[in-house]
Amino acid sequence: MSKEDLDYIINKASKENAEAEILHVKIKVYEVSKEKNEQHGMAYEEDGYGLRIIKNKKLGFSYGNKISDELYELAVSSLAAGKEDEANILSYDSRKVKLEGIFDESVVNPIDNLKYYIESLDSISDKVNFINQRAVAGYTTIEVKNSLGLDSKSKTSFIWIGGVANYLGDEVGPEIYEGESSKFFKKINIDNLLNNLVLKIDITKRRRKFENNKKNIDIIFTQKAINELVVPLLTNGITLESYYRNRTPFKLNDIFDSKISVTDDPLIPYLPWSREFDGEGLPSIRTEIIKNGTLMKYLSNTYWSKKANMENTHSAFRSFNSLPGISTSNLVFEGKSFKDDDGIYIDQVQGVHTSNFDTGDFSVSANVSWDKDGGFREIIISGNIKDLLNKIIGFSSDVISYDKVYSGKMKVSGLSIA
Amino acid sequence: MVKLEEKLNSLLSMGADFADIRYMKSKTLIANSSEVRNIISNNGISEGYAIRVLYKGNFGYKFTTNLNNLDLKDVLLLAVGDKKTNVYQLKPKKDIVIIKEKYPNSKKPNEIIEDISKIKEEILNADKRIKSINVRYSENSIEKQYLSSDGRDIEIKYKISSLSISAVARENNINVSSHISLSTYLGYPIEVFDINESVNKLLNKVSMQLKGKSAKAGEAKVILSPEVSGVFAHEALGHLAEADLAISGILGKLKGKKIAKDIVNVSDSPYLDYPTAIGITPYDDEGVEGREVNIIENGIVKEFLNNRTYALYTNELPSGNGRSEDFRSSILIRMRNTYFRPGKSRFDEMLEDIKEGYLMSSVLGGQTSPDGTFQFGIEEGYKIENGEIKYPLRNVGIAGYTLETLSQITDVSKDFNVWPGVCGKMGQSVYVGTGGPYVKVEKIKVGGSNE
Repeated sequence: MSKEDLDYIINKASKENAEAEILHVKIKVYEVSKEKNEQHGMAYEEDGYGLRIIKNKKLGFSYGNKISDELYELAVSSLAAGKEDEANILSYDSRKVKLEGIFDESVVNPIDNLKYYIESLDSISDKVNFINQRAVAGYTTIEVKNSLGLDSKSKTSFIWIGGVANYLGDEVGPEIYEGESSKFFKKINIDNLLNNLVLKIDITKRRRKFENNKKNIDIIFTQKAINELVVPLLTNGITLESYYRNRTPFKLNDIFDSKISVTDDPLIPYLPWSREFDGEGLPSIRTEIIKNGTLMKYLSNTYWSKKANMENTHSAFRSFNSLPGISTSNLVFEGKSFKDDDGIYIDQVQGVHTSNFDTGDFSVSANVSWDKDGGFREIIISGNIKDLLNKIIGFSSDVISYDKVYSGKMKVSGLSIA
Repeated sequence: MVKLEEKLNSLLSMGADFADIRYMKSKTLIANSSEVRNIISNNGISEGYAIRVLYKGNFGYKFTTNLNNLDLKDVLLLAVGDKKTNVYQLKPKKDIVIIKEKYPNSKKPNEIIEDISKIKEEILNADKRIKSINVRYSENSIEKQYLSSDGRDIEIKYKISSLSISAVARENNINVSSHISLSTYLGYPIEVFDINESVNKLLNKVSMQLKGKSAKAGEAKVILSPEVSGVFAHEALGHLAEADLAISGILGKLKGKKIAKDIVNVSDSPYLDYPTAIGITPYDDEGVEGREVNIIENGIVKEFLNNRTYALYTNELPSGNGRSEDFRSSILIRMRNTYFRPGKSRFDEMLEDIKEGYLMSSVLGGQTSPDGTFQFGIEEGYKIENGEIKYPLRNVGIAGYTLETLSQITDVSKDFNVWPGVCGKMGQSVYVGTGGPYVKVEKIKVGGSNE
C-alpha cells in the first residue's frame, strides 16, 4: 500500500487498536496584486494532512505536508499527553450533500480573469487613491476519511476581488476596504465594488467631528459593518463550547425584543461559505440559531455535542493544521423592515478584536460613517452584543452577501456613541 | 543549497533581473489546559519555498511545498503588471545566525501539560469567581534560509515560546475576562519569567474589573501605562510609518516636520535587550540586515520602515522590515520591536496635577488607519481624581487622531518595559515587541457610557 494513500494511516492506527481520522487539503491559489510601487502575480499550492487518532478515550493530533510515519508518531506523542475523555470520539453519517454552484472551472487557470479585475479597479484610479488592489482565485479539494467508514470529498472554488483605497488630498481619508467574494466569477459584481469605493471615498473627502446632541441616535450598520462587528461577537457567543464553558453572554431561550432571526446556512449556492460537509466530513445542515427573537440552538462539532449532550449542528471548522473548532458558515439575518434613512450609517469599524468576547462587551471606533449631511471623522460605539441584538429596529430590503453575512442593512437604536 | 543556487541561476539565464528563494521550516507544538480538558491542540511541521523573480519590471511569486515539481517558466509567467517594480540590490553577504535560548525546553508534551495544568489549578483555587480558564503553551521553532541573485546567503534559526492565560470570572451577574501573555526567544517561559508574579497580576486584573465602573464617554486627560504606550507606538504610529502605508497616509506628508514636543521619540528596532522583545529580526525575509529606524526623533518625523522595493521608492537605506509570515506569503513591510523611548519624569509626579482623568493600564489590542485614527480596547483602567488613583474601570476604550494625540503629550516617564505581541496585516501575522514608558496625554477620546 502506498504511503500516499490516506488508508495507510487509518490501517496503521487500526493495527494498534486506535481509531483514526485523516483530513487531506489540497489548495491552489492565484493572485494578481497591485500597489503603487509593486505589482505581482502569485501562485501557491500546498498539500496538507491533519491526523487525529483516538485510543483509550485519549486524543492525539498532528499535521504535516506529507503522509509519513513521522506524522503518525507525532500524533502518538500528542496522545500520550492527553486526558481520558468520553467526548473524544469520531463521527459517521451516511448522508451526502451535493451542492450546485460551489466549483467554477475557470478558477483552474484564472490569471487573465484576475488581470481583468485589476484593470477594472484601475478604471477608477483617477477618483480614489489606491493603497492596494487584489484579485484572488483558487480552489481546495478536501477529503476526510475515518476508521468508522466516513469518506467525504469535495472541491470548492473561491474568488475575492477587492481594493483598499482612501482620499489623498489636502486631507487624508481613512482606508476603505471593499471586496466582492463568491465561488463563481459570474457572481462578482464589479460595478457594485467600484461604485461603493467611489461613493465612500467621496463621503470621506470632507468629514466633520461628531457631536452627540441627542440622547438617542439610530445607527444603520451596512452589511460590511455587520460582518466586521456583529459576526465575530455573535460567532463566539453561539458556539456550544462557549455555552458549556460559560464564556458567552447568550443563554438558551434568550428572548430578543427585536424578534430577529439568525440562521447559519451553508447550503445556499454560490455564497462564499457554502460547503457540502463540515470540517469533520459530516453533511452540512441549515441551523436556525435565533428564530423570531428566541435563541434556539448553539452551533456545535462532534466533541462539544457529546460533551454538552446537545445536537451536533455539523459546524466543525478547521484547516489541516488544526483540530476541529466551531464556526459559522453563511449567516442569514432577518427581521422587521425599515425604510427611512434617518440615523448614522456605519460602514467600517476598528478594534473589534479588542472586544471582550466572553462578555460580549465592545468599544469600537467607526472610521467610515456618515449621515445625510456627510461623513464623520470618528465615532466610538460602545455596548454589548446581546443588547445590540435586542435593540435592532429592522433590516433594509437590499439583501446582499458580504463575506459571512447575507442580510439587508441593520438599524439599531440606543447604542452608546461618542 | 546547491540546488537552490541552480534554480536562481536558471531564472537569471531565462531573463530575470533579480531572483530570490526563501526556505522556511516551522515546527509547532501547542498545549492547552482548560477547566474542561488538557490537550495537545497542535503538533506538526510545515516547510516550503517561496521563489520570487523580478522579470520585465514585475514580481512573480511561487509558493510551494515541493521544489522538485516546479517549472521555473511558470514563475516568470506570473510576473504580471505595469512594469514599474524594482528592487534594491545589496552587496553579497553570507551569514548564519542562531539565536540561542537561555532556558531551552527539554520537556515532552505530557510534562508540558502537567506544568500548565498546575498553573490552571492554582488560579482556579485562588479565586472561586473564575469559572473558565485557558492556559496555553506554544513553541514555534523556525528555520529560515535566504538566497538571492545579488549574493545574499543568510540562515537564521530561532524559537519563540509563549505562555498565555485567559480567565473568565463571574460575580453578581457581572462577567469579566482577563489575560496575560508571556512570549520570549529565550526559552521555556515558565523558567524565563516569574510565573507567580504574572498569576497575581492576572488575579488582580480579574478583581479590579469585577469592581469596575464605566468611564464617562467623552474627552479626558489620560496617562497611558508602558503597556498601553507601547501599543500606541505600534498601532497609532508604527503602522503609519510603514512605507507602503506612509505614502498614502498622514506621515508621508510630514517627513522632516515637527509634530510633537521634544520628549516624543519613537523607534523600531531589530533587537531590544528584553526577553519579551520577540520582534527580533537580525535579517529580514529579503536578506537585509536589520537597523534601528528612528520614526520620530525629538518630535520630528524622521524616517520610515521599508523593504527592498520601498527603499528605492523612498530613497532611504533598506531597514530590514521586509517580513512574511511563512513560505506561503509575500513580503510586506512589517514592524519588529516598536517602542516609545523613555523620558525623565516619575510616574507619581505625572499623577499630581490631574484633577480628573484616567490611567489606562493594560490593553486588549488596537487598530489604526492611514488617516491617523486609532482605537484601543482597554482591559485594566482606573479613574484618577485629585492626583490619586481611585476606582477601577470596566469596558472602556480610547480612540483618537494620532497627530492630535501626539501633540497633546506633555510628559513621559523614565519607567520602561516591553511587551510581546502578534501583529496582523493583510492576512499575515508576525511576532512583534511593543515598548514604552508612562505617557501623559492632555486630551484623548474615551469610550464608555453616555450617562
